[in-house]
Amino acid sequence: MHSLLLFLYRYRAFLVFILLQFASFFLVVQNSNYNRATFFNSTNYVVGNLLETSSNVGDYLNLDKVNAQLNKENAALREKNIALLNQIEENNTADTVSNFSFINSKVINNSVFLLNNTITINSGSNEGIVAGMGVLGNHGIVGKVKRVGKNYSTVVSLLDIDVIVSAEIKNVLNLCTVQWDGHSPKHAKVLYVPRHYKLALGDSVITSGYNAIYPAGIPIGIVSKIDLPDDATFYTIEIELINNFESLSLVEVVINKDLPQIDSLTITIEE
Amino acid sequence: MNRDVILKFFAFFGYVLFQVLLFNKMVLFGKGFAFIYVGFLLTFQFELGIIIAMLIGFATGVTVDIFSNTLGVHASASVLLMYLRPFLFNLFTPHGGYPSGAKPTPSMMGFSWFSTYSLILILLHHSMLFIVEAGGFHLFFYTLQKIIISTFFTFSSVVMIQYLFAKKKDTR
Repeated sequence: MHSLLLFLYRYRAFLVFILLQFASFFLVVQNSNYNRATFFNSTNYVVGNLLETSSNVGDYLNLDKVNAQLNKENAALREKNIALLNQIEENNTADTVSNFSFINSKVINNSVFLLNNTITINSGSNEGIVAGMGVLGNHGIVGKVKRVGKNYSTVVSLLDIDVIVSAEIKNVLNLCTVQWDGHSPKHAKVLYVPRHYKLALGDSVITSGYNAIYPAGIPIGIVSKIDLPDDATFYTIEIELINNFESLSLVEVVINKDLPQIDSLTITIEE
Repeated sequence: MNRDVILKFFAFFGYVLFQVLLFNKMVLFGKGFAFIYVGFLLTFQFELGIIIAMLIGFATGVTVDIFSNTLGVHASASVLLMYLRPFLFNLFTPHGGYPSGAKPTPSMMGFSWFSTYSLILILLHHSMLFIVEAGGFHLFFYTLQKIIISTFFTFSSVVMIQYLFAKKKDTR
C-alpha cells in the first residue's frame, strides 16, 4: 500500500496529465453527439450575448453588401410570386398551402475553415426552434440545427465533413448525396452518381424530396468539375456552393409542419 | 507575487477575448490560424507547479473551445503544452540556471531562446489540436499544411504581442 501511494505520488504529474486528456477527449466525443444538451457551447446565455454584441459591431461594415443581396433576393421572390399567382388563377385550386414555414434569424458566429464548422444564430426555443430543423440562407441550404438554447442555437454547417445531404441533379438524376470534403468553403462533392448518366457543367444540384429537413428543390450548388476515371463506378463531381458561407448574415430556419407525423410513422416502421 | 496573479488574471481575459472575437476570424490562406492564447500559457513563470499549470491550460482551452464550439479540442492541446513546458525548460537551461521569479519571455530570456522554446511548443500544441480536430490521421497532408502554416502565424502573433504589451512590466 505504501509503495502504491509512493508510486502515485512520484508520477502524479503524468497521472493528472492522462486524466485531463481523458476529460478533453470525453468532451470531444460528447460534443459530436446531436441533441445532447450541454451547457458549454455558444447557445449559453453569456457566450451568445458576447458573440452577438461583437457581430453587431461587425454588421455595420457589411450593411451595403447585405442590402444589395436582399434587394436581389426580393426581386427574385417578387418575380416568382407573380408567376405563382398567375398559376393559381389558371388552375384555381385551393390546395396551395405550404407545409413549411420559416423563422428569420441572424448569424452571430460562423466558422468555415475547421473540419466541423458550426454557425450560431440568435433565435432559440423562445422562437420555437427545435434541434434537427433545416436552415436556409439567401440562396440555398446552410445546415441543420444542432443545439438549442433559450435565445441562441448552434447550426451544423453544410461545411462539416460528417454531414451528408440527400440531393438531386436537376433533369438528370433524382437521388444522390452531397458531402463536403473539408477543403475549400466554396466547393463540395456529389457522391454516388453512376457512370451511365450524362452530366454537363452548370447542371444545378438541388435538395431531393427524400428528407424531412429541407423542402424539395432548394438549390445547393452548380456542377463545376466532372471527372470519370475509366475504372470508377461513380462520377467524381465537384459543385460550386451557391451560398457564400464566408459572409453569411441572415438565415431562415425551416419548420416542417408535417414533421411530427412523419416521425411518428418512421417510429412505427422501426418498431 | 500577488500583483503577478492579478496581472495574469487580467491577461487571461485579454487574451481570450482577443482570441475569440478577433483572431478566430483571421484565417490565412484558409489554413493558417493564430491561436494567440498560447502566448498566455507560454509566459507563466518558470517555478509554476506542473499540476497547477495543466489545470490552467485545461481551463483556458475549455474557455476558447466554448466560444468556437469545438469542445475539448483546445483543452487537450493546451494540457499537452503545459505538461511539456518543464521538459523544455530543462533542455534549454542557460549557464547558471534560471534567475528566481523569471518568466520565459523574449525580454527576459532573449529572442533566440524564446523563439526556439515557443516554436517547439507551438508546433506540438498545433499538431495535437489539428489531429484531434480531424479525428485521426485521415486528411493527413491537409492537416500537416494547417499545422505548419498555423505554427508560424501563431508564433509571429505571440512574439508581436510580447513586444507590444509585455515588455514594460517585465523589465521592471
